[in-house]
Amino acid sequence: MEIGVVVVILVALGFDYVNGFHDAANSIATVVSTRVLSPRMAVAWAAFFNFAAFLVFGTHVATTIAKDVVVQDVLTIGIVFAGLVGAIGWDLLTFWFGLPTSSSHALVGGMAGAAVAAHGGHVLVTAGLRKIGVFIILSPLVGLALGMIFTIIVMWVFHRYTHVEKLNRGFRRGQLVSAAAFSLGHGANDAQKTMGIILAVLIASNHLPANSEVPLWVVLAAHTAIGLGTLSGGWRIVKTMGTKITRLQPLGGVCAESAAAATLFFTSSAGIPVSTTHTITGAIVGVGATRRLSAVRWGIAGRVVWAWILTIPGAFAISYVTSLIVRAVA
Amino acid sequence: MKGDRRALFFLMSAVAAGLLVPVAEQEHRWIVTTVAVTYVVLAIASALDAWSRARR
Repeated sequence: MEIGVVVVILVALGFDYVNGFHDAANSIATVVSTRVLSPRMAVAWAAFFNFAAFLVFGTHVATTIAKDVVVQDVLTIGIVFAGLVGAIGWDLLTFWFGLPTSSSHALVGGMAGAAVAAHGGHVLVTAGLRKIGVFIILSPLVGLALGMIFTIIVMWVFHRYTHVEKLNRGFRRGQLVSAAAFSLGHGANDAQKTMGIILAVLIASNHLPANSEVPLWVVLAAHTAIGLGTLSGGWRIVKTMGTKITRLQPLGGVCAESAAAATLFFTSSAGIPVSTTHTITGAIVGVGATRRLSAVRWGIAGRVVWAWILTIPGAFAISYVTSLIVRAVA
Repeated sequence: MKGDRRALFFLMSAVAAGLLVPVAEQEHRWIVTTVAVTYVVLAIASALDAWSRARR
């Protein structure tokens, strides 16, 4: 395998690591903010289930990323590299500001920017980008609706239950299961995006024929990278997600994580690359909105929305410039 | 009337999801439609909740 291919695969795994690092907060924010687990235990718990996801889900999302963003024929090692630089750059920038933006959309914006810089706008796959675009808006809405519906159902079921302490203890334990389910969904959807990138590199460099399935070593490497990233944790975003959007009780934590996990399980099975960040943020807002809209801190939620809007153009711009530099150097 | 504001928020979400129906691919339209309908139901439920609280 040529050195260029190896370097880009390592950068892709680096992106996966950063993704786990950046999005660890999504998996563990509610468990930490409700004090069910210590931060150290919470990241270990999430990392384990991030890794275990490869046993449960297929690789449909990987295929979407490899084939539905940019026309496969024009993908080169340089384009994939520039795309990854844009995505990682954007992730680190938003991490610095403590904004829970989407690594997935950074990746899509990055790949698109790098390819457009090299070949022009006609190389973008309109149908694939439309699918991704629709679910950019839809995933937080689904998370929000499910978060709210789950909370209403749970409150309705337990509204006559008088042993509040006992109930809270039960939900604290329940959060271990819901956090594990969400981490499983996170690992499944996000690790597959890196698999998609590596698959694209291997096809572009003729190491695999077009329309190949994702090799097992790629699957294992991607899940290991995201698990290790999660293990490193990202505390700035934990704070925003766990306490600043709305204060959560164990009951709310269980409902938010279950809602987000259900959304991720469905979309991962259907091959739709959604943002785990968008989904859990929507679900947390949904849980907060069952009390009243003012329980949600809309100023913080608004900052998050702005970061969402800017993610694709931001990563696109960084990758566009990187792609031009790579071409000039090459 | 915070309940009304919530209903309005759900209604706006329903409109946003509804606008995505023609844009979505054929195989995913049912999901988008379900989300839009769910938000209409949530908006109605929220408005009824606000109305019953106001009566009390």
